[in-house]
Amino acid sequence: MIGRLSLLFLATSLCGPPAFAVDANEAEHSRLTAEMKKLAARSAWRGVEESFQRLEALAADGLQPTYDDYLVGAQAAGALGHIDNAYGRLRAAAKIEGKLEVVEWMEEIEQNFRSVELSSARKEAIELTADQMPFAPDRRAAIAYAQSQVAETGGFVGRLPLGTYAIAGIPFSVEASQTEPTQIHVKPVKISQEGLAFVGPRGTLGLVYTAAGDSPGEAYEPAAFGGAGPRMGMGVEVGLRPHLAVLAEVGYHGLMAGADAIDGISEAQQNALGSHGDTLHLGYGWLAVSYRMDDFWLTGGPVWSAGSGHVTGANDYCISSPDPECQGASAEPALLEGEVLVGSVQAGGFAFSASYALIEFGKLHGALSFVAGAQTDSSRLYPWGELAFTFAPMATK
Amino acid sequence: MLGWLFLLLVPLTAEAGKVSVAEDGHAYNPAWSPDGQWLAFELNRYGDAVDLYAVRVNDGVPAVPNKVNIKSGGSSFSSGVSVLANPVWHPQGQLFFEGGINGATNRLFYWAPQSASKPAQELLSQSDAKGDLSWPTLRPDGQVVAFVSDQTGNGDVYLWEAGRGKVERAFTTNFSEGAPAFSEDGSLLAFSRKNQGTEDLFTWAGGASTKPLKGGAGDQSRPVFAGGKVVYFTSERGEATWDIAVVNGDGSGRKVIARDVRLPIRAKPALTPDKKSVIYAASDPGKGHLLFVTSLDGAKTTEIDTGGLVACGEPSAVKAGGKVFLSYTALPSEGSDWRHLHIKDVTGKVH
Repeated sequence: MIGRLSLLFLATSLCGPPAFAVDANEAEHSRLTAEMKKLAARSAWRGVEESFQRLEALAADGLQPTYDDYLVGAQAAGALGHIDNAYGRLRAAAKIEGKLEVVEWMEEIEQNFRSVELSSARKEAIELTADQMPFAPDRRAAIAYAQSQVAETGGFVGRLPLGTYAIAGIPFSVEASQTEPTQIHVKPVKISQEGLAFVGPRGTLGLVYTAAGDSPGEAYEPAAFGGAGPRMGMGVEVGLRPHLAVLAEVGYHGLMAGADAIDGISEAQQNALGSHGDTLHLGYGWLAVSYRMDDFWLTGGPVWSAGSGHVTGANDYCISSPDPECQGASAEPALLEGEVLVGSVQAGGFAFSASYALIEFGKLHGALSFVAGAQTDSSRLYPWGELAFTFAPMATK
Repeated sequence: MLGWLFLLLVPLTAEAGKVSVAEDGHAYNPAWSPDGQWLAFELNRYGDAVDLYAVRVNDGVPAVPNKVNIKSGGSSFSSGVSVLANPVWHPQGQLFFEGGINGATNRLFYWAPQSASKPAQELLSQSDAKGDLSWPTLRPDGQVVAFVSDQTGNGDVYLWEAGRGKVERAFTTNFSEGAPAFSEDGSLLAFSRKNQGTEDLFTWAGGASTKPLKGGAGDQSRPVFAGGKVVYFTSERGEATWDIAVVNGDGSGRKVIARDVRLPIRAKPALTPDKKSVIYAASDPGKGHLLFVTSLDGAKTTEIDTGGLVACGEPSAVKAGGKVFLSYTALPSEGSDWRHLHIKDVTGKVH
C-alpha cells in the first residue's frame, strides 16, 4: 500500500506542480491582479510595475497574465517612460485579443517613438537634453527615463519620442523616417598628443588704473602718484583638463596722468623743471592658473613688471627735511614738488581676474574681465585694477 | 433595390445634426477642437457619473462618438464612477480635461484623438501638483496650462509650462480663485475670485499682485477674452438671474449685452469664431427653441431657430472648411429624458 502511494506521489510530482501549489499561484495571481487595479486607480505606477513583474514571474508556473493584466502593465510602463516594455506588453495583449485599443496604442508608439542606442566612454557623468519637452505624459516620461539612465549609467537603449536631443552636447535627432536605431557613442574627452585638453591663444585689452603709494624710506624718491592707462597682453592658455588651464601672458601696462598746477611754483618755473605729469611704461609677464565653470572663469597667478617712469614731485620726506640726500635738479626745497624724477621700476606681485564669456568666434571665447593686482618694488606698493576684453580658447566639449 | 438599401443605411451611419451616443445621459459642455474636426462633450449619467466623449465631425456630420477612458482595461474598471469634465483643446489637437474616479482626487488628463482607444494619461503627477485640480485652460500658444488646485484649502491658480516641466503657483492670496482664462496674446490671465461672499473678476499679468477687473453685486463669473475685451456671466440682478456682460481689459466700459440667459453647467460664454459676438440661449422656456447671437457692442442680435427643439443651451461655435458650425444641447421635446447634442451649419448667420 505504501509502495503504491509512493508511486502515486512520484507520478504526481513528475506530471507537474502539486495541486496546492497551483492553487497558491492562482491565489497570488488574483491578489496581484487586484493589487494592480487598486494601485492603477491611484496612478501609483511604480507599484503597478512591481506587481506586474511579480505577475510575469508566475508565468513560469503556467499562469500567464491576462489581457487586462498586460494592458494595465503597458499603462504602467508607459507612465514610467519604459516604452519598449509598454510595447512588448501591448503585443502580448494583442496576441490574446487583438482589440482596437491595443492596436491603436501600438500604432501610436510606432508612429511617435523610435529606438536609440546611446552610450558613453567618458568617466564623468553626462547629460541628455531634449530641445523641446512634449505635452504628452508618456513622451515626457520616456525622455525623463532616458535622461535618468544616461545620468546614472552613461547610456540608454530604448525608445525616445520624435524630436531633437543632445547627449553630452552632441546633437542628434529622432526622426519618423528612421528604420534603424539612432546610435550615438560619446567618446572620451579629446586629449591632444601633448596630453592637453585644449591649447590656444589668450589675449586681453583694457583700461587700467594704477596707484603708486608714497615711499616710506628716507631717500630721494618720487611722491605717491596714480593714473589710468592702457593694458594689453598676449599669451597662450593650455587646458590641462576641460575646466583647468594654465596660461602665460606678456604685455604692456601703462599709466599716463596729466600735470597739475603746483602751489608755490609759477608756470615758468614748472616748465623750467620739465613738469609734465606722471607716466609709467611697464612690460609685464604673468603666469597663472585658470579654473572654468562653464562661462565663468577665475584666473590668478604671479605677475612681474619692469619699465621706466617719469614722476613729478619728490616724496614728503625730501620736501619736509633738509636732508642733503634730497638733491634733485633744483636745490630749492620748495621746488621739489615740481621736480621730475626719472627712473626705472621692477615690481613683482599677484594678479587675479574674473571673466564671463559672452561671445564665441571661431574656436575662441570672448569675455568681459575684471583684473586686479598688487605689485611691489620693495620701496612702494602698486595696486591696480583693470576692466578688459579677454579672448581665450574654447574648452573641448 | 440597391438604392433603397443605400437610403436606409445612410441614416444609420451618420445623421447630420444630431450626435448619437449609445448610453443615456444629458449631453453638456461641447467644445470644438481648433480645426473643427472634433467635438468633445460631457455626458451626465447622474449617480455622480459624467463621461467624456469626443466625436469626429466631417462637414457638420458627426461620426460615432469615442468614449474617453482614463484607465485601461475597461472591463476591470467599469465599476468605478468617474467624473470627466471641462474639456479644452490644445492648438495642436489634443484634449485636456479634469477627472477623477470613485471620488478620488480630481486630476488633469491628456487624450489624443489620433489614438482614440488609448486611455487618457494623467497630465501631472501628485508630486508635480497636489490637491484636486480643475479648470484647465491653455495659453493660446499651447505652451502653458493654467489650472486651479485646492491644495491649500482655497482654489489657487497654478501654471505648468511644458518646456520647463515645472508647476508654479501664479500668485498667493487667501481667497478662492477659479475659471482662469488667458488673453489672446497670453500676457494676461483673467479669473474669478470668491471675494466678500460673491465672485468678482480679477486679472494677473505676472508678478505677485493681481488687479481687480470687475466686482459689484452678485457673481461676476467665467471670464473669456475677446479682442482685448472680457466677456463674462453676471448675476448682479439677483440669484439665478444671469446676464452676459462685456468689459474692457482695463476694467472700463462695462456693458450688459444679453439679459436672462441660460447659464451653462460649466462652460464660459461662447464666442463666435471671429470673437465679435457671443452666442447664448435664453432662460425663458418660451424661447427654448432659439439660440441668440449678440455683437459685443450689444448693437445687434440674431436669432437661430433650432427647429422644434426645446430648452436649448450650451452653445459652441467653430469655423471649419470655410463654414461655421454651431453645436448646442437641447431636449427633443417637453418631458424628454435626455438632452442631446446637435450640430448646425450656421454659415452666414454666425461669423
